[in-house]
Order: sequence, then structure tokens, then C-alpha cells
Amino acid sequence: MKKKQLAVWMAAAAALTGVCGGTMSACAEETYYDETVTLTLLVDQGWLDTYGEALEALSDAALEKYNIEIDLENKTNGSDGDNLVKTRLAAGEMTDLLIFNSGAQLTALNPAEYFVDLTDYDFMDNVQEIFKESVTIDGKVYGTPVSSSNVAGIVYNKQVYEDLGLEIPKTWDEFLSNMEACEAAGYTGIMGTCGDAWSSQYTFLADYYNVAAAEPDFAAEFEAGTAKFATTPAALRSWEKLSDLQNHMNSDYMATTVTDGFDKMLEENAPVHWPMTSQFFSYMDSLSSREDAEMFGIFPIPSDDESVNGFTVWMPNGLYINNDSENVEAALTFMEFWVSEEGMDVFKEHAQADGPYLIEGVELPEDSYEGVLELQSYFDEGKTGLALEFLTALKGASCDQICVECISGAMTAEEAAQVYDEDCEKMAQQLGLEGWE
Amino acid sequence: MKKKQKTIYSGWFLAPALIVFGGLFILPTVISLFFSMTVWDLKSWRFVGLDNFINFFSEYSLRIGIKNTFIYAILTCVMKVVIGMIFAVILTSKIRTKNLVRSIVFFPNLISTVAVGIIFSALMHPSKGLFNEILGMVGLPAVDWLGNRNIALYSVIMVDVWKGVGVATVIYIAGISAIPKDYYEAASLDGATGLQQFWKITVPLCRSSMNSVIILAFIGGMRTFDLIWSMTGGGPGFATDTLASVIYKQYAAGFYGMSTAGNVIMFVVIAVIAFPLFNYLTSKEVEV
Repeated sequence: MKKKQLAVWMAAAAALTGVCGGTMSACAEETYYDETVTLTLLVDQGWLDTYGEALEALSDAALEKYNIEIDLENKTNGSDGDNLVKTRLAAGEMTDLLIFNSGAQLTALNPAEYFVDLTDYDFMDNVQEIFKESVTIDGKVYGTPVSSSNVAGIVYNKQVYEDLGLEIPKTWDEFLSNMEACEAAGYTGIMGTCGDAWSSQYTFLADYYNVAAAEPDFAAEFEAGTAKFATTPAALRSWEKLSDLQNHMNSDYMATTVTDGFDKMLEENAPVHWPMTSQFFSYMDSLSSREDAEMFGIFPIPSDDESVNGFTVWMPNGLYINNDSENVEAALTFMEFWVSEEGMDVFKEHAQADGPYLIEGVELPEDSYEGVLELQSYFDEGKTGLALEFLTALKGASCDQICVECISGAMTAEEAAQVYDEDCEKMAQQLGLEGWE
Repeated sequence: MKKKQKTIYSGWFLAPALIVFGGLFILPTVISLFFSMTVWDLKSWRFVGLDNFINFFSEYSLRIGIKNTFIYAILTCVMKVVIGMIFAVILTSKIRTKNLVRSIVFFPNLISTVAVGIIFSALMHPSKGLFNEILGMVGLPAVDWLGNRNIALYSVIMVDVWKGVGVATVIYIAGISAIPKDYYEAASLDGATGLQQFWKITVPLCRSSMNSVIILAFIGGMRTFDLIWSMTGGGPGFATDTLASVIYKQYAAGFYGMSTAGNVIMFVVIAVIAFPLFNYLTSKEVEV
């Protein structure tokens, strides 16, 4: 008898959530909480620096519309920050909402255990398929995009290019000779910001478009353990490019942090290039001025073949809901609001795009940075590909340090590729991937 | 045959201490031994035998890490033993500002290690740091204190000694103050010089303090983490990785089983070195 009662209750509960789940949009429009619901949200400081204002505006709008208040908690960036997230999840002390990477790093959090499955909610129809793929694990979708997509490549100073009569390089050799031309004119060839080890990865990671152009199946074979960086010439090339930068960087590149980098780009005889993402423009805007941000452009990591010329694309961070939260319903309401047209209007008003948005029907605003508007043509022509970390969960844990070793010449490209392969092997064993035992 | 002595107190008096020791030390140690042989995500685990240990030893950064750990432990230990002794002798002599200087020597120890690390990495910045500005003023070339892989470890060691020498000094001061003044009086009546008094009386008789300093500094050096992490994060590249930072990075990567294996290894390495060292040192002590 008891069992039966329980079953009835559970069915009723399921039906209830089902109602609010299946036709969530209808549910949300009516929602106005009598008492203010406070949702805690954990996000890293780097993200807040650029989008804090937009998040605040969204939060104000949600307070007015639904009586939902967002209470921010911030964390540090990089692996220390990831560590904090993992520890808080395991200890059951996660906030109601979390903003965190999509792709491989999300997989490492074991989302099935900790986050609300969003697969069946109607509002997920607003989110573009390409983003959903980066937050889908075992067929379940866990997150919504919190900003636009972005690409990585080489940020360059347009003014210097014009003064020296340089052209955007189509091949890696042209790029190297451009750097030499800049150095001959008294500039520094390229910016190194190894003070933040993670930033040293961009040359390597953003070259993946070129790897995939030569080896379309690399991601799958890499995950299966049949293709390695050290033994795949096109993939080894990425490490060689990284190591080519060695003697072209600013002299204090080991201690320079990314924040220092933005100041340095504006100094006299500044570095002309910087391997970075298209988030560069909004960071430069917030740290300096829009005018300074417009001085720069971005081009893809050049390949060895003039006809291969495209950007490697990164998906933005996702917004995730803690399974154990007491306010899952309110959190869903807030999430739905964010990806709605109304929510995105609020967002766009207070933040700049780094690339095309990933919400259906939301266009790249015309007042975006010039460097970002130029990206649209690459997207329209299909000259873009996802970064490797969105195609496989396999990413070596020491990637950033190995990149520093390679860029500084402590390891040759071949050594770095081999050490990185070993590093990935360890991760594969931890993830329990097939074929790596 | 020796008669068993009747004890006044029941063995049960040991119970509270044993429970605390067992619950907070023995039990976690045994549990960590177990988890060091699993792939573990804090919620579920999969037994893999000794794989973690094998993987840990094949870790690229470990080859550098073990070497660095020993360099770090031995150098900080030696410098603290020597410099601490010099400070202690000066501060137990009849100088006027003794109390003030004693506080100043101990002061760095009161600041949190991470704060010290952050402050010094700012001071050691290659282009904006105070150290290089001073070098520049006297016409010396700038040094990339933390960016040059050949000197980064030694820069951190310097800071560790700066911070830790106060404790060594305080231990020495206690030891030196406990030496009866009669010895010095007798020696000086016999015509011993200050230096002779130092080598023949002070050094042998504060041996037990020196042993405490050696053991504390050595074990502290072997386990060093916070200063390394806040100053270099193990970098540039892997140049300043130590055992503890390698373990932390594996933990940060979510390799909980493997990092537990690393901790077991570190525990064994320290124990294997520290116990014989301790026995050797105490056998050399003399009664005051």
C-alpha cells in the first residue's frame, strides 16, 4: 500500500514538472513570484570584466519581470577556478546557477551528476544546434550560451600594417616575414603573455582549422587513440608554428600577463601581433577605449597553403543549473528569459559581440567592432571550424604549460607534441575512453 | 625475572588520544592508500591497481619535480640553519636594540605565505619590479627573476628563506639562552676567544635546537607548495614544479586517484628520509 502511495506521489510530481517542462514558455509568462527569489550565480572574474554590466542589466530586468534577483559570486579564471568549481560540486555547495566553459571542460565536470537536463524544454529551440552540441553529453543538453561565439587567430595592429605596407598573410611563411618587417621597423614582432600560461595556447589551438583541413577525421581518430600529434604531420605543424614565435616576442614575455598585454599593445614600438581570441576587442574597449579597440583587426592562423584560410571557432561559456538547487524552477525561468528575444535585447544593449550570436534570430549588431563585423564573411562562406575541444572531450591537462615550454624553446616542437600526447593519454584513461587501457 | 610493575592509571586513559589520532590520522591514511589505487571522481571509483603509481612516475613534470624538491629542501634547510644561527648569536649578545630586532626577524613569518608570494612576484617583475629598478639604478643589468628557468627556483628559495629564517632564529635563541653562562665564564678565564667559544660551546650545546631546525626546515622544504604556487605556478613551463605542485595539478585536473597516489609517494619519501635523519641527528646530541 505504502509503495503504491509513493508511486502516486511520484507520478503527480512528474506530471507537475512535466507541465512546467513541456510548455515552459506558457508557464513562465505568468510567473511573478510573490516573494523575491534570490538565485546565486558563480562566474569567473574575467567573464564579469566584459559582460558584468550586461548580466546586471539582465538581473534588473528579471527582478522587475519575475521578482527574481541574481546574487553574484565570483571566482578566479584558469585551472584554479576550475578546481574550485569541481570541489564545490563534489561538496554539494554549488550555487543555483553556474557560468562555465562548454566543450571538453564541461565534460570533465560530469554534468549528468550535477546539472539539470534541459533537453526537453521548449526554450532550447531558441539555441542554435552548434552550441547545443558543445553542451551535449550522452545525448542530453545541459546549458545555454551566455554570450556570442568567438574565434581565435592573430590580432594585428592595422595602423602599423598600413604604415609598413604589409598585407594580411595567407601563409605561415608570409606571416614570419611580416613579423621580421615589423621588427626591422623597430616594433616587436608578436606579443607573448606567458605570465598567464593559458594564453600561450592560442597559436596551437587556433591552428586546428588548418589541421582539420588536411586531416578531416583527426578529432575522431585522436579520441580513439589512433592519431597522435607527434605522428600526424599536419597536427605537428601546430606545435612547430608555436615554436616559430620564440625569438619574435617581447623580452619580458614570461612575466607579462594578459592584462599587461592590453597596455603593452598601445605602447610605443608595441608588439604588432598577438595570438588571441576576438574577445580582444571588447576587453580592449573596457580596459582602454573603443577607439583603441578599432585600431586592431584579426586574421586566422595562416596555413601553408594559400587556399586554406579560415577561423577556428570557440563556443561561449554556458549557463548551467545546479541539480540540487532549491530554486530550479526560478532558475529555469531566468534561463528562458536570457535566451528569449527580450532578454537578448537587454544583453546586446550592454555588451558587445565577439562573433555571431548563437540564439536563433539574433543578428550580429551593426554597431559591433569592425574587427568582429569582418568575421561575418568567414561565417557566411563557411570558412570556420570548431576548436578541437568541442569535437572531443580529450584535452591534456597540462596543455598550457607544455605550450609555454614550446614557445620558450625549452622543448622542441617534436618533444612538445610527444609530451602532449602522453598528457592526453593520462586524461583518456581518467575519462575511461575506449582503446586507451 | 622482572616483575611486572603495577601501574596506577588504567590503559583506558589513552583512549581519547587514540580515538582522535586514529580518526584524524590513521583512518584517512588507510583510506587514501585505498583510493590511490582507483580512478576516483569523489563520488564513484574504479579499481585500477598500481596503474596510478606507474602513471605518476611517468609524469613528465615529475622528473623535474623530484629534482627541484630536493634542491629546494636541501638549500632552504642549509640556509636557514646557517643564517638562523648567525642571527641567534647576534640577538643573544649584548646589543641594544635586541628586542626590536628580534621582532623584525620574526616578522615575515606572520604574513600569509600566499601574500608573500604575490608581493615578491611583483617585486621581481622583470620590467616593473622594484628589484630590477634598484639594479638599474646602480647600473647592473636587469634579471628575469621568475621568468628565467635557470634562476626561477632559486628566486623562490630566497623568498622561502627570508620568510622562514625567523622561526629558526627563535628556536636557536631558546637553545642558546638555555646554555649556562658558567661555561662561557670558565672558557674566557682560560683565554678562549669569542670564535672558540662559539665553536666549542655554543654549537655543540645548542645541537638539539639545530636538529629541530634541520628537521622542520627539511620536511617543510620537501612539502613546499604555497610559495611556489603563488610565485610561479610551477612555471615557466615546468621549471619550478615540485612534488607537491605536480600533485596539486593532478588534483586540479580531476585526477583524484592519481593525486592521492602522489601524496602516498610523497609521504613515503619524506618518512624514509626524515626518520633516519632524525635518528642520526639525535644520536649526536649531548647533555647540557
